[in-house]
Amino acid sequence: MNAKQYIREIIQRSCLPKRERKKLKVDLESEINSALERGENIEQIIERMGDPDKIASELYENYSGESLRPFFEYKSENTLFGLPLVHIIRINYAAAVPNIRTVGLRGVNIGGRYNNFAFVNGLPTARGVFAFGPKAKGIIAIGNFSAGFISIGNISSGLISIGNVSAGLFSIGNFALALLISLGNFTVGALSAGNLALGYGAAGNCVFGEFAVGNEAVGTYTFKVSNLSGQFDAIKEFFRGLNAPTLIKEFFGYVEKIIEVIIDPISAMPFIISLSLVLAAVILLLCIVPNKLLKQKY
Amino acid sequence: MNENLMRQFKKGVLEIVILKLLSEKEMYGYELVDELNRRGKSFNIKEGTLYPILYRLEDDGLMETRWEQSSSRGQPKKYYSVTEKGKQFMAESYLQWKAIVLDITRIMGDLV
Repeated sequence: MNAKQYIREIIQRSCLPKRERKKLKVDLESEINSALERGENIEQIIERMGDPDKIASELYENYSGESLRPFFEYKSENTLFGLPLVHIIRINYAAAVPNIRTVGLRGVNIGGRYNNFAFVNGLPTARGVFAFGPKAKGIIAIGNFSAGFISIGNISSGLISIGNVSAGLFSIGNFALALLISLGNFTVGALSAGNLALGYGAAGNCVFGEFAVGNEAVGTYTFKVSNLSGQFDAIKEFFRGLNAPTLIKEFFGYVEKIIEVIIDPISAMPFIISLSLVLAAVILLLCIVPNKLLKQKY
Repeated sequence: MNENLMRQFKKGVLEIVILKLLSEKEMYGYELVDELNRRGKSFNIKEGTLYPILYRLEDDGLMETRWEQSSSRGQPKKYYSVTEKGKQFMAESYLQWKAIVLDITRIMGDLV
């Protein structure tokens, strides 16, 4: 652990209000610098000052007068790539929070729990291969604010990101922004499909793009759809005839399949049912496993 | 020694002690921790205890801070010093503390 990580760990875990955090950061930095100037090395300093979590809990207690910080935590001992396998942070609503202002603004957290936005700043970030928390970072990160290779959350970013507002290489969401593929309500991406889609290749309701297919299409090569089932063959024809990069053609290949499903939903029932079953299983798992792990500890 | 009890003991007194040390000379954080632990062996002050007290003192206007570039190569340091209000507070609280100690000693007098 270097000095920066050490300080960050203390500050995040202290759950102090923003103003105190700023002061604390400056003070800890300056204290560690003083010790370094006197010839101690960083390992010795950390050894002398102690475990960041212990310092943080002392800070919280001395500042607020409450002995319990407002979160539950589970951190597995097993690590992978230097990250704990599972790290879960969850707000403890039962703990008194005298010094952290709470506002009535609420957002929905994965797992059906309510989360308080103002509160999110006060809690440590979950970091792990599987990270769950109001703020989560990891290989697979799930949380209100999440970042990771695969991230799911209210506001999420990652290679594959799914969320209300999401950004990444592939992203799905209400507002989806992606370098490659974006799907959702408002989408922007190289290839984008959605209600309002903007992209090099775009398909959906109102679409803008070099290659655009939709009810209202604006672009260089466009196909305006007025009757989906009636025009399906023409749409296929349009896709075949396009002088477009293979990636675009591939994308439109998938769009074609989606159109097929839309035209004849019954034929796609097995697929739709199995997909929803898989999703339901995943979401159930995401609700149950973190709860079980947290319960183990408390 | 009961750790919890020790914590309760220290809670009120540390503020006075810190104000006293700072009234002797202004100090920066590391120096203050060092000085406290050197002169009060039983205190065992850690960062987690010191900083919240400092912030409280500062908020109450009993103490103020100042930045200074100490040496040419070093980082600037944050120096803490006592205000007039702080000195007054220290003197008053110390009197109260002495009264408490006196009473306790009188009550506990025949013990040991």
